[in-house]
Amino acid sequence: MSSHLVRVDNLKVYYEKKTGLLSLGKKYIKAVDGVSFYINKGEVLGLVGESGSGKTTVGKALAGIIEPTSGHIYIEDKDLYALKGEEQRRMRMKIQIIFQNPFSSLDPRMRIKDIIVEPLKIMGAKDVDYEAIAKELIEKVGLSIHHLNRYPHQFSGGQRQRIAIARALSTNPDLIIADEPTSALDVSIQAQILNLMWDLQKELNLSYLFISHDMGVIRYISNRIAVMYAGKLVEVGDTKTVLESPLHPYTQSLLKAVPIPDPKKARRERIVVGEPPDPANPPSGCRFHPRCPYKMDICGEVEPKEIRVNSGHRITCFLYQEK
Amino acid sequence: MSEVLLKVENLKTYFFMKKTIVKAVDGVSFELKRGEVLGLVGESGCGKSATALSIMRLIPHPGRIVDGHIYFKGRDLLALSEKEMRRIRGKEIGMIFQDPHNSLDPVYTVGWQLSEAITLHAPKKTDKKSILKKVVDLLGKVGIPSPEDRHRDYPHQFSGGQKQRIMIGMSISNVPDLIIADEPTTALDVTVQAQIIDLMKQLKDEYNVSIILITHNLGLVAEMCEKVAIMYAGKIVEIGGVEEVFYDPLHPYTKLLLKSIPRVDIDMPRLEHIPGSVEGAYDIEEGCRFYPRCPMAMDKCKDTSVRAYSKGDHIVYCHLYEGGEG
Repeated sequence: MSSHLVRVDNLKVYYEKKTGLLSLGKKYIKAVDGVSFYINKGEVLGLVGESGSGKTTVGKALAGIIEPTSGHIYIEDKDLYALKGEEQRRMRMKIQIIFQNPFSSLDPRMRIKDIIVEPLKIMGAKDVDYEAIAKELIEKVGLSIHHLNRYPHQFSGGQRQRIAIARALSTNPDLIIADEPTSALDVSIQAQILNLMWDLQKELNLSYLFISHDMGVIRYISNRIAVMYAGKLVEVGDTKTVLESPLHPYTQSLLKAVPIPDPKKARRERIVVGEPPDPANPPSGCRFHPRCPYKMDICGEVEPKEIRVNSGHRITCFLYQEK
Repeated sequence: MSEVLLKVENLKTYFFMKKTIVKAVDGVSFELKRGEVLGLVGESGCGKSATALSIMRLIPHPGRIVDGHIYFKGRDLLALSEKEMRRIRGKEIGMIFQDPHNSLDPVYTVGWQLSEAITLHAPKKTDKKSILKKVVDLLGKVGIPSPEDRHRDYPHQFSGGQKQRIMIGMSISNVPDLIIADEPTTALDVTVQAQIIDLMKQLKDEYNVSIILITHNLGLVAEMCEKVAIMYAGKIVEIGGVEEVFYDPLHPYTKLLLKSIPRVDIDMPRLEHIPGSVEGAYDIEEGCRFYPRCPMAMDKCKDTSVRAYSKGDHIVYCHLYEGGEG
């Protein structure tokens, strides 16, 4: 038993890809390939990685949108995918998701007041005053009551993301999965949304799985960070520890590659070569080895195991394995 | 002092919509010296791409350049015929676009597409062999492995970063004086972005080419540019050396923008955010377009046109600095 709100245990999500004549062949894209982590109540876990690393798939599996190929997701020690019917529905109410693109995540034919309470209706909540809930939520996200009768196209990107946040809050969730919620927004609007999410998290003691490729955003919002590469976690730890003393060569190169808005801190070092691998055909052994500056013979042959360097800081790399 | 390569003077590019006129670029002026890299920064819709397309004279209908001058190597581009302009595009001024997946034609090999860019501006009767050699050299120069084979490949056989390398190769194929790069790394992952930036820096040094880097990413500007212009709603609000603008920003918009970026290198207790949105800013005729969102706004910001105040090469367009040097 643990006190974690969410525990993900050896999660694997494979997508089937038909190949060959008449689509008779089958190939698997191992989008998520054995990922384990936990999120505590009231904690923000930042999940970072480049495109194709599988971070969105992890989020979708947690939100119940994609069923895992194997592995378990425990919410308050209950196995999400082992629950049935009403019980699973209730459990899912505790998890909500905010998507990247606020222009496609809101139904253009629905009024804002209906969009916001739709999750509640789907969950079959009875004896509730939907109107009152919509009013309360729209103000909580910094919009006003007269916006409720409008349609999505009447709002800017930032406002739409506020509406998406209000919708996520409607079921009074414990965990919100935020999948690149500010990537489609301008920086000044991004700051508004990040501050709003920060305030709501504190006020409601929410937990977030905050998925992003932007290390600055992740540093700002997260208590802990998990770094993903080609379907696997390579490093997990406290935000400050991971960002200021990263151990995995991938985390190190990722951080070196981020441009800093300070002319005197301009990068001089050479950065990592190559590009992230094709998820349908990942390299053997450690998936980062073809790009790794510290590559050893073993890295291409054997998959490294996760090791704990100190409490809470875990890495998957042969450099730190006991010889 | 090196020569001024490009001088944009009071450029106005308007889009004539059915009901309204959108003043996408409204009185933009700046200078670029040979070998200099200028960052043109602003949020979406601020007119930075429209400024770039105006320089190339590629503004699509219903847009039109209505006023101003664009002096390139002393000649006003706006006075040239379309035929003369075609000789400049792709030869003296190269362009790199945001999305490398859409800028290459999927049905031709990349070698063919590169050779097309070279042939268009080459003297007549240049033999195929020497063009092919140039293509292979270019691919090698931008870091495509085994270019002697890969020039026969099609765009889908390359990754996003490699496609952008090919586009960069195309933009330098005729050794231009100026490259306009419109968000060249926005579609790429951060480790790949860093490689592309390194490549552009290296080519800049090698060819002494000037670059206008259009971006919303102030980190890239800090890393790559010597000079930066901050745009808001069709106007430049501040322009100057990168260190001056980053360490001593003058315009309230620049100040807020710099404090609203979440940084990976330092702890930020709370991000500044700019209240409201850019909506309606283009309708402001006389006053400062930022005043509805400006924390320092004064009465006259509403209806008095803003002039430039300068501190050496650092220029700001804001009433707060009235009384300073003009």
